[in-house]
Amino acid sequence: MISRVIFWVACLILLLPVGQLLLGVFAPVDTESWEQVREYLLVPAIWESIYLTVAVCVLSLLFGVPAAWCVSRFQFPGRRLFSVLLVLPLAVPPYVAAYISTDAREALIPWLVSIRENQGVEAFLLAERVHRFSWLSVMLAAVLYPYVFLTARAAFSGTGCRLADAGRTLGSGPWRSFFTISLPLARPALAAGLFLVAMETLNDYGGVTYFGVQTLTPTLFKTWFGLGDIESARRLAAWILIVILVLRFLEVRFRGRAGFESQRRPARPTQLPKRPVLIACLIACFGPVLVGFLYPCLTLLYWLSRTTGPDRTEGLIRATGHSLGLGLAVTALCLLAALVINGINRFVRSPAQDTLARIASVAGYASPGSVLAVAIFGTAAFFREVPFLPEFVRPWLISGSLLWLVYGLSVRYFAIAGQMTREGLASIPRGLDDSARLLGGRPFSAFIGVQLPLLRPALAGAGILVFIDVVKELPLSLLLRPFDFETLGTWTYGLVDQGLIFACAAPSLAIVAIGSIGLVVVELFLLKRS
Amino acid sequence: MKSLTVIISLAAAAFIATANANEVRLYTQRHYDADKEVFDRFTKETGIEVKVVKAGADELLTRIDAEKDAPQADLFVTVDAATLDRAAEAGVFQPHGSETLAGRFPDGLAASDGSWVPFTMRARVIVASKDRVSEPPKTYADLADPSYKGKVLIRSSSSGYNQALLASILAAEGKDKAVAWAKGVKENMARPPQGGDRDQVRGVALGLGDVAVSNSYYLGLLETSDDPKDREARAAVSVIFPNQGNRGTHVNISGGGVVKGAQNVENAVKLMEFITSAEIQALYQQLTSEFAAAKGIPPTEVQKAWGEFKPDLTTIHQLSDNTEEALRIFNLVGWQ
Amino acid sequence: MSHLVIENLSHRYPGTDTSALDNVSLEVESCEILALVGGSGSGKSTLLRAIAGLEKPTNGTISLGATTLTGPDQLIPPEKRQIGMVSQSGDLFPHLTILRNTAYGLRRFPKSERRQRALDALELVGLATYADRYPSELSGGEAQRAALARSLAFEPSLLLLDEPFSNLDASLRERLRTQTVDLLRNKNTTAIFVTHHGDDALAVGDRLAVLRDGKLIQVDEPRRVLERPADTGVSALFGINNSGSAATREDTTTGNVGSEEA
Repeated sequence: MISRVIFWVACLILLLPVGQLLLGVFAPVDTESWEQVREYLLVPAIWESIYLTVAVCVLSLLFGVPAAWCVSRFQFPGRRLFSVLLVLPLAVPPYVAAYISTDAREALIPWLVSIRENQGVEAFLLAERVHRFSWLSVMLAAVLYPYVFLTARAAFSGTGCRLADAGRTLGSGPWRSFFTISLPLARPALAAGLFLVAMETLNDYGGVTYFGVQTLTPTLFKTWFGLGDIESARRLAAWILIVILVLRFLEVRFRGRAGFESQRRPARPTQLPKRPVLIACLIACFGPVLVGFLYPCLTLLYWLSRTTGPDRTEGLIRATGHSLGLGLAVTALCLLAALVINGINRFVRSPAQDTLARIASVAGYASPGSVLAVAIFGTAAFFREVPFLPEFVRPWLISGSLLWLVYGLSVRYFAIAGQMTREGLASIPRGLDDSARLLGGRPFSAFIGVQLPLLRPALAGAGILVFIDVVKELPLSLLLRPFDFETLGTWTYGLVDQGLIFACAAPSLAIVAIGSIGLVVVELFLLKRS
Repeated sequence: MKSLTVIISLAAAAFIATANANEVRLYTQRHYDADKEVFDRFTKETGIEVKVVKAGADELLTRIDAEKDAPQADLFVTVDAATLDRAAEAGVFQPHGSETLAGRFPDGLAASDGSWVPFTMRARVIVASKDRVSEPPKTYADLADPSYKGKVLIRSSSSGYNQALLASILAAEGKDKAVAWAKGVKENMARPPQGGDRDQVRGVALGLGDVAVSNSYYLGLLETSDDPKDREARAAVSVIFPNQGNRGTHVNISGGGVVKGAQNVENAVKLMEFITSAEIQALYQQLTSEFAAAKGIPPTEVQKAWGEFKPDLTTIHQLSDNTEEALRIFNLVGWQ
Repeated sequence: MSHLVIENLSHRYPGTDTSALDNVSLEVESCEILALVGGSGSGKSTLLRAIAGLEKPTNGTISLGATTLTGPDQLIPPEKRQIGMVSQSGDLFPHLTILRNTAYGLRRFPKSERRQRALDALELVGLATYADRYPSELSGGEAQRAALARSLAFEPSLLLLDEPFSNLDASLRERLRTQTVDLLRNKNTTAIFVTHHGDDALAVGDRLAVLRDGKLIQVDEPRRVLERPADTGVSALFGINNSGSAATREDTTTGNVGSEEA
């Protein structure tokens, strides 16, 4: 009974901001200003968001799928190394990826100018738009494709690998096997990966504003702060969230009648490619690593060497401390919540509870940071109205305290911890629970004694990924951070916002370094066990 | 619900920090390295620690409003008169009550009720490519001229500087002219707005556009930058103070006031007096190329080289009333 | 005339020390069913994958009729070999119906014939009424029959059956085994039937080949293997006691249930 209460409370805490926000759709607003927002800001922002998201998704497929296919189907020198390297772009935050293209973009300005001289102003404006938009899409895709790569690799290597072999023994060549078997089979995995890419694209604030692309996130910032219209901002946030949840629902439905549940039986790639295929493999693997990781790192190092101006070491150390502390706190909370919710869900089986647990994990991640920030603002306001609170607590309920920032980040990244813990638990046979119970263990001690040790790799992996995401995070931190508080992300953003592009190299490199170390640990020690 | 409250209270208690009496807490939109130097000097002289939160003005105001029961800021500092007046109207400030401060500024510059005082001024100037523009624009209105199609670089309408500029045009010339101007400039843009003022100047130097709008402050920064590329960019453009033939060049007032209910009022006033003292005003001119707001401070060499100019003091206190309309116009014409 | 000829086949997986296959030479006659027996890790799957062209062996040649499939400078890709394979898990494509699964390999037949050929193949295994179902909607035995139909419809010149029924329970396994052998004989299919069950091998094979640690230990007719097992390992595999007499059927069945491996 107590466990049930704890379960519901934990889910409620996770769902509170988003739930409140969604209920807000029905609240009355100042119609005139909302209509203004809708007509002049929302409609163009929806189109920009669609263009950008589609472009980034398509490019992510181009970066991620061939590389995943190569490392899971062919045995070539450097395959294991590439398997790890190809994940590293995840350590580069999207806004940093956007910033580092500055030099290359500037180098192309003479070309744009020549268009204006030769083809006229209209052609120039079009070229400028295409040029800018392409850079942004490529740079975002270059650091977001690992989501597609990871899901595609999993789909291609296990059952997918065997089925592709089966196809070939039925007379179907590698191309036909790929398009008629591997790709359709990987569809749900790719959809899941693309969903993450799309979410990260919509979540981006630093990159799109730097490129002058007005997607939904900057529009929300603008409505909230620029127009000071919190009511319209809430309504806007709620609608963004509804659209995303509908898309998510469709994505799940899209999987259809055919069963895709895969048996986990990893197959080692055995095909030794011929020379042309080998070269294609190396290009498919090296290309994404080059654009998504080496190019950002080398550019940042070059900028670091050119950074001038006052000594910012102190600020950097403080920001690093804040980021690490925030990362640890949020990681701990997320893992705790994931254990509580999934653990209880396993012992007290009920479909309603299961659904709730699923929703709790999706809702936070489906909300772009800016949307969630709006939601948390609402929650904070709600708690300030609670009558019987002790006085000394009130200052901490103001929006912009560390409490709300930690809360917001935990709600957002719980999805990762929840999902990975859930999968980890699912791979532990139910029989083990029963045996532990039959041998006299109470549910809780059985969980501590049997499940927890088996879950350790899943928890470690989830923890590292949450940690990296918190260190990279920008919009939520920017909006909810407390007094005198810079994280590495907000520090980077602030420097670029001031036009100090070179100075952003130091904090950016710190983020990339923290992320890379974490990802290498996950790739080498946690996921490679099979 | 009760257990939730308990959890939250426990977590909150863990975050409680001890209040430091000898400090002053700033919410500021200014993000300049020079400020840090000034604050360090202040701490050295008075022993008062300066704590700073930097963010956008609206973000800060939203937060100040949310905290009005328990103010976390002592001093609110922003970079344009419109926001200062708007904050004053919204009751964000309490009068500083300092005789010293009252007499320091030219007439009509500080708030008449003593709610805020100016620290520095920046002129919103036009820069033009020395190579490609033989007859540079003389007024802001010239930027809307079709002959500049695809050649104007200017930052986003989210920028308070642009909002204030349009508000001043609204105040001086009326709605129709303001809409036509915004529309004309939007049509002339070489690219949708992106980056800060410095990026606009760099854009002119790189050839992307022929004319740009920038704060004088950023020109000074480019001129004194350690990066040769920045100095080249500055050298490639000529500086024009617009509207010298009529009401004068639009200026941004950087200033601040004591937050109502602040915990460290005395320290906040001390800091304001420190910033507007002759010594620090001259230091600011030197460090940031901003113009001193206090009377009788001679310009620096860098500033002299830009030429003399007449600031537009007529619209300064009308900006906040026109900002909302200005935002509407920006959205109407699609100026991002 | 010899149909499949394997000569001096050796294979070592990259990064491993031991040979998966060690100098294996083997011939399979036309229309013959060879039962390939061995425990897990004996190399039988590697041998099948090499024959199918999914693996390039380190050494040796494989030829089918007059064509060299695998040789020192030759590696015909799997899709050009016309060698069918039914694996332990069936490997039906989960996103295609049974009918489309069965028709998948029929590209070399005219379009108009494909559907009928697929249906005929399904009819043979008694699954014609299931044509529009998806693999996830079939039982384990049905799925294996569908996989068999898919390979038979393909009309392979050689069919490889890699422990096709080992995931099924003993009685079902026996029934399907009998049905399959009848089918293969009716269609005069040359086949290699891999199993680790001695009784399967005895019931199916025209000849038996015993593989252990990558080496061929014995290749002979069932009767002769039972009479003269090459060593005690082979005796144990077929439940022959040390005195040399054949074990009873009950003994072999029980003897193997316990050692069943996936």
